[in-house]
Amino acid sequence: MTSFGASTGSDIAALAEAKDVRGRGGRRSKAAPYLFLLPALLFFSVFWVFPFLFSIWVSTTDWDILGNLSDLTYQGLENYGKVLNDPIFRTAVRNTFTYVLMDVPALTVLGLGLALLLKQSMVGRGAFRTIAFLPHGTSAVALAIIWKIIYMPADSGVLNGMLLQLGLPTLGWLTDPSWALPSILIMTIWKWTGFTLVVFLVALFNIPSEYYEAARVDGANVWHTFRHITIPLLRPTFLFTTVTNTIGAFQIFTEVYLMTEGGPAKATEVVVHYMYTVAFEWLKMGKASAMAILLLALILAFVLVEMRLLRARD
Amino acid sequence: MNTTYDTAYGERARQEADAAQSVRVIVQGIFGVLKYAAVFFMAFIFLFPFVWTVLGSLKTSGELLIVPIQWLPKVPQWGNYAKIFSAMGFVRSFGNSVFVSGAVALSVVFLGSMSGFALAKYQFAGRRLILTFILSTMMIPYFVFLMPTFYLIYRLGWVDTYLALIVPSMITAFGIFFMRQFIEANVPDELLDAGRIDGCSDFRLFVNIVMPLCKSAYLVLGVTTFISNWNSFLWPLIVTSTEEMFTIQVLLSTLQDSYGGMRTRPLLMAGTTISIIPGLLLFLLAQKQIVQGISVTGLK
Repeated sequence: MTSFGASTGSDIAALAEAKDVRGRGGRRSKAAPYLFLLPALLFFSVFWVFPFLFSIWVSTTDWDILGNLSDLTYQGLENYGKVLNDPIFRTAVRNTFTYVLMDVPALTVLGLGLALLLKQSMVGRGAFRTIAFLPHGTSAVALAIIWKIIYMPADSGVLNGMLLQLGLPTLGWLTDPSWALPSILIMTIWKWTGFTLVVFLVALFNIPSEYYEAARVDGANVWHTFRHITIPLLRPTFLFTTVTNTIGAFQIFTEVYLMTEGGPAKATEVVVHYMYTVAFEWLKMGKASAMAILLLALILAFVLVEMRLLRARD
Repeated sequence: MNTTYDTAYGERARQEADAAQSVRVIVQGIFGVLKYAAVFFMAFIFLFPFVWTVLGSLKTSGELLIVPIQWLPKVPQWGNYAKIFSAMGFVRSFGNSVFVSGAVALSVVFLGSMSGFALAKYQFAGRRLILTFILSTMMIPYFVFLMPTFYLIYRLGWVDTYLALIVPSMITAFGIFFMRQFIEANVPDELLDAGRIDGCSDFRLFVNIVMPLCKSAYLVLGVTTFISNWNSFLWPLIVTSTEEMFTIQVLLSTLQDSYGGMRTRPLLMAGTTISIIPGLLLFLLAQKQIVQGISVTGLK
């Protein structure tokens, strides 16, 4: 009733109050927002608060999904020790780091570069933007299947077929341990560049053109305006794309699951894929939960550093 | 007119100016050509995997494997599509995905706008706290919830049912936030007050006044929710175990095993093509709004 009284005359409020009392009882507006929010609050308690706390708890136990919860033994931080000493987990972390550190800068450079290109006046700009954005609307499963076919070894894949026709040696894209992770990287960069491009393009068009005109009058060249107008004004966009792409990159799963299953020789094993294997194939839920919490901490630390770096010169 | 002053020097200056002008035109021309060359190259890179898949879906397995590459099928093998449609479970899992994504989209839209309405148009104790809480749920990545939520579903006996596929996605924090922003900006307080004076209950206010005003937002939120559920993979992979319950993405991932071999690869490509179409069509239709949504959430 408070917002109501505030937004209109008190006489109308009084009238409504009278109606309220006569009709459904004066308390209805007080309860209404809570009733509206009830489903959401219930939902987030069951599917967010509970799983989150449960994850932290079971990461200190020897839980597997088949066992009864009352039989759990508390193990303290034993799972964390096990995970950190697990050579496959270490490999997975190293691969994930390599992947993130290559993926995020590449997406930023390509996304911004193509956005600058598409910002030029040209015929069919919208169509080109749509084309680059297409992979964003396509499922990871379909794209993984498509790229696996493209990457097929020897002369049965189209990429190797093209290399052959150019007189170049073929590559074992997904079968050669030193090429497997770069191949997945190429595919995911292809997939996510469009998203980064669109974000940068929107931001570029939001920079008032007067800034550029004024700079040009003062004799600034293209590089100057890029360095001193575009880059500083895009700082929030850099922060957003970097953080979003980082969080996304750390969670890479589907491509690895469908294209390499972490192989060959663990060359593409990444944290979420290994966690999935430990949890749902080996049913070691306690250990997998410890991995999830560790990865979460890793992502948070990474994002905090990025925010520091990109916000620094405000 | 000024011929007397038009000395040899002036003539040369003019010639130089002309030359500079034409150099500029040429440089601009080169830049223009390079610009379009770059853009067409970009378009080729982004389109190639899609085009290759659609063309491949119409080839015979022999045509797909020939070197030098045969780009176009001699005779389009439409039969590949017929075969994949009659393949085990394809139609069923396609239907499952339509049903599940549709149900989730409806629920996200309805419950999201209900919560969004409360957060946008009511003053009450804990409002700020609740909003912060809901927004904070967006910050934790899904993999943290995967195992406990699966356990919950398992204990409820929902594994391999539609409930497992739908219920954990029924409300999204993004949906609530998106609807709150929309309702705050687009539903006038006066209209709500008028409704109250007419004796509308709060629920009827929501259904009769707020919901009709939200049509455009419903469309955007509904379509994006549908697409993301159509494309989601890990959760359906975990909670479905029989082919009757597979979503299209899970089925596709199993087709890779059964049809990934050289001789059936065109069939796999046909199945992939069909699976892409619904999501991509909606994506193209709602593209403008999706871009706007990105710029709203991304740039604050």
